[in-house]
Amino acid sequence: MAAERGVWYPDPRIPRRRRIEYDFGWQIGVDQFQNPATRIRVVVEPTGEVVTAFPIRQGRLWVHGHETADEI
Amino acid sequence: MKLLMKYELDFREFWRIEQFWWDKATLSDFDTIFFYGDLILRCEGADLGYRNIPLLGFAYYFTEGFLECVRGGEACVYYTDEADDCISMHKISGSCILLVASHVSCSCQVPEEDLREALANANQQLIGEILGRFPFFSKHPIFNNIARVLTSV
Repeated sequence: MAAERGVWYPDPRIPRRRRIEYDFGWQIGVDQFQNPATRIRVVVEPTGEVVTAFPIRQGRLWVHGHETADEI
Repeated sequence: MKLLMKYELDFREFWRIEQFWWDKATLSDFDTIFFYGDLILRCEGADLGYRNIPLLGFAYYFTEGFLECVRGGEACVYYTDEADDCISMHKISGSCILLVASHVSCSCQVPEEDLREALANANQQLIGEILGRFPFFSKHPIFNNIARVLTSV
């Protein structure tokens, strides 16, 4: 579903890779700081191999590697 | 100029590394999936470090970025795939480099040679720690390619 309906874009960390992001509209898990997450981010190699995938939140503000508050 | 750069591998990662079948590994296993830990990067009053990132991958791309920056360009290196934070390097007047991290409101200007020395030491320590615990990587071609970049500063 994420691959068909999600947004594909170059991975800014490692540009040879691509990312897919898709918002399910409901909670699918928690992010790395145990906050509710509705989106999934998938990192894909040019070969199609999935490198990693994880739930994320939208609109985050990071300070010293820690999430502090939602962006306004 | 007080510049501190250090990689602190998370020891909780080690059992995962031991159990993985590295003969089948790809670059993504080295630069994204394994070798997590904390980046310590402090410069005067600026804390540009980041916790819980793929350290070997960060070291690899930060070193490439540094070399690009020294050649007169600029570079932006993302800490991890999970967060959209990055650290950028711009060569400025003389032989100084401006470090700016997206997740903090401060920046830092460092002499190129100071950053080179700190980066070289941190890279050497990281490679030494990995090879000390997992000597089999010394015969792994992907690891050796990464190590070659890390020791090129």
